[in-house]
Amino acid sequence: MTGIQMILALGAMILLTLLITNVNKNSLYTEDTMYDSNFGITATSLASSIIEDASRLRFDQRFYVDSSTVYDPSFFTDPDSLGFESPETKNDPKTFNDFDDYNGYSGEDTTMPTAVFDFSCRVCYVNDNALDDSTTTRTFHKKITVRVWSPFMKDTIVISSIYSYWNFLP
Amino acid sequence: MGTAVIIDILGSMVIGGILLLILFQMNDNATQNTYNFSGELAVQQNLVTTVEVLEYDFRKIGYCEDPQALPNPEENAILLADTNRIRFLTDVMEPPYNNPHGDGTLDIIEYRLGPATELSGTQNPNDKILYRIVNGVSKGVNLGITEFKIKYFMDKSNGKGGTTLGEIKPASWPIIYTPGTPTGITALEIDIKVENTAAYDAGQNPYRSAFWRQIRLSSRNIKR
Repeated sequence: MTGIQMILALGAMILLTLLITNVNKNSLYTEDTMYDSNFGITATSLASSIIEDASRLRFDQRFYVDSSTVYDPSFFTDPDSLGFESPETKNDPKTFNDFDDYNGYSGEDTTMPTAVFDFSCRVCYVNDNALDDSTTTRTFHKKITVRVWSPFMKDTIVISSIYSYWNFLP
Repeated sequence: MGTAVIIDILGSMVIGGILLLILFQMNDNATQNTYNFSGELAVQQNLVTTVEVLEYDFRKIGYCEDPQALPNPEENAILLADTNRIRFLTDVMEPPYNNPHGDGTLDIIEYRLGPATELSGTQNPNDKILYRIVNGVSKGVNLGITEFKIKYFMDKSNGKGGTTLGEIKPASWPIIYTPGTPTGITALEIDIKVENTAAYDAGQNPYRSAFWRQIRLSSRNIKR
């Protein structure tokens, strides 16, 4: 075998190695994306479950103090005090009795069969003409934002929902 | 022909054979990956589609466009509860679909999971048909559903604080509710698992699967 033939053979081997490596890399990337997407579905189910659970509750703690209809949002909980109140326990949703108790609620879910997920929630007041931004004043609308992530996921799932207080006019 | 030439020919044949084996293996892997990725995509799409339909229907348990047609839905909406079967009153869109919320006529929807033996023709031994039965008309489609579990919860709170939900665990399923008697059900937990109906080299590789758990699905009309 001449030197040129040897170089050509080596070049062919290198090309083949690059080809195989590239195919493997693409295959692993796709697999990774598929798993990420699969975890994303489960994470979405967890986030929507938390939102659903929060939406079962009353709009504000106020209604346990006075169950009469509220026409003025200034009666609601102070924006700086959104969160659980005594005797409720932080991170124990069984003790929560109104929507904003979920502000600051966080934890780890190990019940899903696919992976372990961590989550955190934030509740704030929003104006009906600017639903993306929180406001420091009390309004008839509260927004919950749930973040779910996992060490196995590339990104964090963020889902928000608005809960509004309404009542029939007398 | 000298010994060196023979060694060259034999050596090149061995190396060529190894290269061919590598290419065959690569081709097999590529086929397997294509199969798996397409299967995974189908599984995820099937799961999302199932969940969309299911949650839309479940959120409308006890709803009727004409509220007079279904008074006290918290007492009358759920007709039958089982771990993989539920029957309830609702209002579905009917042709000519003028009102997207319903036509004001009460409908009965039942969801139930069929037995695995119905789909003995598929490679996956665990897939089952999820039936959606509207007013007695059954429609089932094989989306590779292998698990469909429902848990029922009742509100145990005292109205002043704490919203503890207690799971309803009767001595035997199903529970058939008499209209006019409160069911006590205020929330449902739904587990759905979808698997591929077939897998590449099924004996060696697991079926691709996706899972959805709606921990607290609560229809507005049954928790009043």
